[in-house]
Amino acid sequence: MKRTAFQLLVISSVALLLTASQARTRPRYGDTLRADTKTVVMSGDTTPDALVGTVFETLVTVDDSGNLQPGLATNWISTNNGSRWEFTLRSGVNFHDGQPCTPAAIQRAFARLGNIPWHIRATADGLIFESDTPQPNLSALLSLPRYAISATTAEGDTVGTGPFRTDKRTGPIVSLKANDDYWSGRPFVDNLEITTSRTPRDQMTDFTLDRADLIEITPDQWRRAQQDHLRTFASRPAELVAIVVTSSKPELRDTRLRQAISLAIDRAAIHNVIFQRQGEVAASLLPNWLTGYAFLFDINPDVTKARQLRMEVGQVPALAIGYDAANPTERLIAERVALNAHDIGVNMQAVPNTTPGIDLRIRSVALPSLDPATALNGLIDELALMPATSSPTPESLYANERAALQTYSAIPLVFLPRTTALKDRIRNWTASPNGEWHFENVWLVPHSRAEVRP
Amino acid sequence: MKRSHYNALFRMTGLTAAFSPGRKRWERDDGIALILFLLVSIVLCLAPSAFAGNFTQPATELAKAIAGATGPGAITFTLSNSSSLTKSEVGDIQHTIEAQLRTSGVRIGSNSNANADVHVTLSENLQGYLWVAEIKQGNQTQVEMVSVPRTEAPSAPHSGPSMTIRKALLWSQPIQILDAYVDNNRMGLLDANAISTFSLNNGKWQRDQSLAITRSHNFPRDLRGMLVPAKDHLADAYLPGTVCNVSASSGIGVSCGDGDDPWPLGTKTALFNSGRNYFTGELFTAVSKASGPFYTLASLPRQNYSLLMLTGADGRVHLNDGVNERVIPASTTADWGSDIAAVKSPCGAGTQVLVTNAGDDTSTDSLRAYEIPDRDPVQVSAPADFPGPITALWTHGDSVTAVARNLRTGSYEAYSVSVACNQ
Repeated sequence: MKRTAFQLLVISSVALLLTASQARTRPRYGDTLRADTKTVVMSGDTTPDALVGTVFETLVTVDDSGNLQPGLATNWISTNNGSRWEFTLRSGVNFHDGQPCTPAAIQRAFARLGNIPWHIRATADGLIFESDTPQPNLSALLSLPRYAISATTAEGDTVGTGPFRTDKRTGPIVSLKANDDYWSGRPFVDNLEITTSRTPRDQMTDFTLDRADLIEITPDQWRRAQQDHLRTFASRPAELVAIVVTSSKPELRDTRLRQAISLAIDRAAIHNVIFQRQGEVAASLLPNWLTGYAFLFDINPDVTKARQLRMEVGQVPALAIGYDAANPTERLIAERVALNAHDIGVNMQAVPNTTPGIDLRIRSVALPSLDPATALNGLIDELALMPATSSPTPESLYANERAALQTYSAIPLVFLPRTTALKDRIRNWTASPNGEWHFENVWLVPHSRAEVRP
Repeated sequence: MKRSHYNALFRMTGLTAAFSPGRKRWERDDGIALILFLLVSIVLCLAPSAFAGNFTQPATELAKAIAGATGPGAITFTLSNSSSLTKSEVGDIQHTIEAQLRTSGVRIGSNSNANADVHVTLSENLQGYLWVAEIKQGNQTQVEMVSVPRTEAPSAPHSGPSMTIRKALLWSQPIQILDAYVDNNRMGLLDANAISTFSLNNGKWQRDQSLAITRSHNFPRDLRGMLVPAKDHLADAYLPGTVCNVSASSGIGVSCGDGDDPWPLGTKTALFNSGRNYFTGELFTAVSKASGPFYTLASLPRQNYSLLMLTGADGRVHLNDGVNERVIPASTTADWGSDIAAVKSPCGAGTQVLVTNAGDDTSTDSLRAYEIPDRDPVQVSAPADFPGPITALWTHGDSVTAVARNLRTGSYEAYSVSVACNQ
């Protein structure tokens, strides 16, 4: 009898503990958040993109609605039709080593970037950017990770101004500590440990063995994660998977052949079969949720027209489409594209990227910004397409995008969401619509009280 | 907008049935329900035209662009919706475009006599709606676009079992609001950067002055602050490690300085941890037993003492009568948030505790009123919903100020919250 009573007491205590863990508290300080990412951070890369927003900051940021927000600059104004921009800097900001983030320090940070199309001058409380050609979208451009602000310490280390400071980098592991003096308030977690260059399989193992609180999951892991009732977060379809023409073969320099390949591809089949309908079919560089006009790009194959264009080109040599050998999904895409090419009389073979003489490659490119004009410029830059003007109106963006795609040097296939699996103990989790992680507001429930999801 | 009214009608009629024990009451309630039904029907009839008003200008603009491209004559016209606009809104927009096309001399006809095929897609992007017209004339396709800002539908009100929580929006702004109080026709508002004064003009608050808060240190994340009216000057603002004095000697002035003065919480004062988001637990005046760190405190008057309810940083809710402290069973407070505040009302015990809901900053929130008749809290109102997490909840006299971050707009909204008795 006594034993039964004791058992009941234990059960009710556990039940109480479980229910107590549901309660909201204001954010709790402390603990270490461990995240895995496939992103490769090169040892020589002092300001890796993956740490922008966490360790390094930009003058301007873009919020989740695509609106520009103050970063290290509090306000900005352009004159001369966008040829001159004046930025006022936030006062009282220090780099992680304590040196003040002054206009002169930021001017030096830009000088280190080299090859920038502006002349930059430091004033008493800000910076003036001047260029020969108008830059109407400069403020948005400066939100890109490549323009993150850093300084060099006396010891030669690179430091930023963000909510976390680099503690140490041991191989692929980047250890960060909360910046107690962060201008926008110290983050809630004490430490952030990011393991980079981690394969999807290793990430899942780390997650299962409770060695990571946060991991990226691939489209083929997504379904399994749902079956296992993992807590997941999927961004908007924000990663563009596209074919990029890399060959200098004369036949592939002919736009008609590239267009024929584009018209032959059954994108819907790739989306339905390989990606199990995750994300959406793409015929544009930017997704519809960002621009509202992507539906104007035709996603349907037109094999008749493709065959006609291919015939006009005449003799076509065998082509090779490359894929990342470590990525089984890319291989499936390459094989399917080769099959579609075969249907219009083009002999194409899917081969690993390491094979010499590759003509086309499968590329995955993350949406670089939530500002449509900046995102388009970033993608055009990344995919080495023709340069675009930077007028931000929907009409001119559409015209730019159509012009960039008219060369068929890049052939969009699908937009995929960036998916994250996270432990139940993580609170205040937010990610941008394009899937970028935000760590500064995250807080952790102690291990013993984290059984119930928020 | 229209959907909200529909929900309101549904809830009102449902409530009438649920709380009508006798036939006479039924008859009276039937009458009320009928009046409500008629009122709501009128609103429903008016709603589409009111809503369409927001879209008239862009619809006209798009129609003019189409007419400019096609010129007068016959066209085919189709419209599809791939946005979150409702069916009735789409109907209104189509109607407006077609009417404007006719005004511009464009006739909408069949394929046989049309010199252009026009298809309009009502699309949307991250920042708003984008309406796109594809105008096909022969082999040429021209595209016209109109960007339209997104509008927000108001939420439907809730009703409760014995008391009703009433909330009135005071002010909304993108910068985080920490506190606000209303004193007759004046309002003081504390945000992360400034202290502002407002006056009531034709039923609307107008900002008179905004004075920057100066500080020598960075504030913690999850910033909290209080604005408290003072006897010998206008008000005092309490922020982590900073105290500001608002005076009105020669115009309104604010002087701030470093300081860890205890913050006034009803009849008590408490020290705030300037590097974190909670009170240290040190309470002054008449509590002999020390409390642990806590987020908020509600003071409930009893005959000879005040009963303090505290939401501890340990995740538990404590009751302190000045001598003894006990923890309310977790089964009762499992869905409570960490922000609570006492509010005076003409109902029940005269003072209730408003309690936020469990969740985190990514979910919407609500307030419920509780009383503590004996040992355990008893819920006395239905939840009053807020459009996002409640980030501040402070008692000011007989009412409470709640600040919520609207998840849809990202703006902070300050509300005056009170409790009314259900008849």
